[in-house]
Formats: sequence, C-alpha cells, structure tokens
Amino acid sequence: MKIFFINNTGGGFSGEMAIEEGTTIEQFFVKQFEGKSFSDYAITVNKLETPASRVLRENDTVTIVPGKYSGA
Amino acid sequence: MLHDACIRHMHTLVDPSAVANRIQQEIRNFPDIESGIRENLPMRRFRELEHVIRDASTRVRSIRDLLETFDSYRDRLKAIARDRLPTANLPIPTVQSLMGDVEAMERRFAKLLLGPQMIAVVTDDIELSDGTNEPFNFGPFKIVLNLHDYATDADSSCYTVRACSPRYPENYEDMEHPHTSNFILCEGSASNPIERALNEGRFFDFFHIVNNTLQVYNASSPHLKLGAWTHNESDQECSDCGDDIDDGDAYGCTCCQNTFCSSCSTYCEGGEVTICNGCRANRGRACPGCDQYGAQECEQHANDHCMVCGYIVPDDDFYECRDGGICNRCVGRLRELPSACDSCCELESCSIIPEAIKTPDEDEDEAETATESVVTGG
Repeated sequence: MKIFFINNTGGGFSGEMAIEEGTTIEQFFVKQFEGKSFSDYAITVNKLETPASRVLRENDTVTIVPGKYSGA
Repeated sequence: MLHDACIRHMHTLVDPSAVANRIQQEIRNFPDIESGIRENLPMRRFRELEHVIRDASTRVRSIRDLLETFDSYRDRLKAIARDRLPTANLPIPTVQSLMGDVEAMERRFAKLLLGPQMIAVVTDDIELSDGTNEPFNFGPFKIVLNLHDYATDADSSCYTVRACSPRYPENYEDMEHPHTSNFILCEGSASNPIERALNEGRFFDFFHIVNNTLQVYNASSPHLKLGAWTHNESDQECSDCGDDIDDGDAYGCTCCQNTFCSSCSTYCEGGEVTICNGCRANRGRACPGCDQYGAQECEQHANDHCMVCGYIVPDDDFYECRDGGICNRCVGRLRELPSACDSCCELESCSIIPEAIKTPDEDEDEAETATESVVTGG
C-alpha cells in the first residue's frame, strides 16, 4: 500500500512510498533508520503523535523529525 | 476538531461575529436555559459559554485572516515548489493542510500566534548543557515566520528567533543563544530540512525543526560558547595560545571580538580598550582606543623606543632604520652632524637620514621634501 513519507533528516526526503499491509510505525522506522534509536526522533502520523504500535494505513502521512539538530 | 469545523463552515468565516451572535441567540431561545436563568444556576454556565464563544470568535477571526493571507500567497508557493524542487512529490499545500499544521502547532507548542502577515510559536524553556555542567535555562523563545518574506524568498531570511526574556552573558549584550546572532539562527545540520519544509509549505515541520535546533548546544561551533553564560572556566580558551582562561582573566579584543588571556592581549587605559597581539600587529602602531600612534601615554607602546633619545613618539614622527628607529627630533639633530646615522653608521645606505644630510650643500626645501619622502615611504 502507499503512504507519504516526510523525512526531515540529512538532506531530507518527501514523497510516496510503498509498504506492506500491516506495517507498524516502529517496523517502518526500523527499516528506514536501521541502528538508530526510536526515542531520538519525533514521529507523527497525519501530524498526530501516535504510538509506535499503530498500524499504518493507506495514504497516511508519516513525518520524522530528529530530536536534535546541530546548530552552528 | 477545529480543522473540520473550519472546513464545514468556511462560508461563515466571512463574518464570525455573526456566527457568535447567532449561537448566543439560540442559547437564549432554548427553554431549559431560559427557565434555568430564573433559578440563577445556569447563568454561570451561560456566562462561561459566552466567554468560550467570544474566545472562539477571536480565534476564528485570526484564522480567517491567516487563510486570506495564505490564499494570496498560494501562487507564489506553487512557483517556489516548481522552481526550487522540481522533484517534489507532495502536492501544493492546501487550506486543509495549513489548518492541520495550525492544529499540530497548537498541540506541540506553549503558544501559537496567528496574524495576517505572520505565524509565530512560543517554545518551552530552552535549557542547554555541555554535558559536564548544570544546564543553563535560556527561557522560552519566539519563532516568527514572516509570511510576506516567505512568499518572496522561502529561506532562512524569512524567519527570526527571539528570546522572550533574554538572558545576556557578561560583555555580550546582544547574544541570546549560543547559536543565534541578531535573531538569526545558525542552522547547521538543520539547514536542508528547514529549507525543504519551507519550500513545501510544511509549516509545522519548519517550527518543529527550528525548535529542536534551539534545544541543542553544539560545542564544536557556536557563535558564543555556553561558558559565557555559565561562567565555566573550561568553556573559555584563549583564541591565540589556546590555554584555558580563568573567569577573571578573559579579555575581549575590541578589533576581532575574540577572547584572549592577559598574556595575549594588551589594555590601553587611555583608550579603555583591549587589543589582542595579533590585531595590534596588524594595525601597525595605531591604538584603536586612544588613537595614539605609539605615543608615550599609550599603554600599548606599539612603537619601539627611539634609539637615540629613548622616547616613544607618534607614528608619523618615527622613522625606521635598518636596525631600529629614530624620532623626528633626533633626525633633526643628526642634520647637524657630519657623520653617519647613530644606528647603522652607513650614511649612504641609511633609509632614515634625509638626502639633505647626506649631501649637506642641498637647500632646505629639498631637505624637507626628502624628509617627507622618507615618512611616506616608511
């Protein structure tokens, strides 16, 4: 199924992605950010803070914002 | 949800006061409330409802203004998305999207401010620590996005970051945060995400990213180290020798604005300025404070002493010889001597002694001209 993914890390990414039915937020995160800690990021679905166990649905918009950026 | 209500009643936003009046009228017409009013009990509830309606009316009016502004900039947003991000796969932000952002910002931030030309949020208190000391509380910050500037050029110049209750460090009365200067955030690793969020009209993401950048102290490259606020010794080091500087031994150079220890800087009491050794060398002999070119009364003594009389004189009265320098007064005395200059003893090659002295039969005018050429050639 299709979701919109907005990645605010690094150079950034925003666009459609295909994922498997039944994928939870946590599973999606682990696949995209292997090795990273879930708690270091703010993840919203359709601009709402959502539990990691929430199953993603068709046309959901998943936004990931790192908890820390390094200013200069 | 406010979002759904605004979408459903978009046509009523033309005159939200009329909506509020109508609601009040309906309440007054409701029999239970009318009878309850006689018993005085629901009156309190009625007043509460009036307050809520008035509040909602004000908010709806703000949102209506914001939507009108947003609507007028949508063409610009389309151009931005097309020109800046031809590969962007998200649709142009809609009114629905904007309302979603407004709701998300209300939930996330301490305060949300909406105006015809701006969107602003107030963050929670910003506390920064370098990991070894107690955090320093900078208080809340207001992040203001100017919609007019945003529509003109969606980059970091369209927003400002200001402390709500500034806490300035000693000697730096315009520094509100280690990573801001003149209300501009130095975005660092957040630069690309901020630019994308603005270009794609993702206002909530933009404010969220800026907030998360303010929340972190990057010790490797701040505008001003956290130690300036915490007065922590380990956070200050001399910009010249690199040694750690004790709190009472840190001096700011008037020229380059960096911090130096007492060994690498000099203080002029006459000009009441401190200048580091590097800037002192670059400026030659002029003291930036008292403007004395190596004069005796300047504590910096940029000039050497005159090798003849021992006095320190202003720059334009000081001539450099191969082995040192001589003041003008002593040059004048040397005119009376038939021998070589006091220093190099090589009359012919001396760069100080005016030509007139080397050739005593020249007239006085030529001697003054030669003197001037030595000064300007200096």
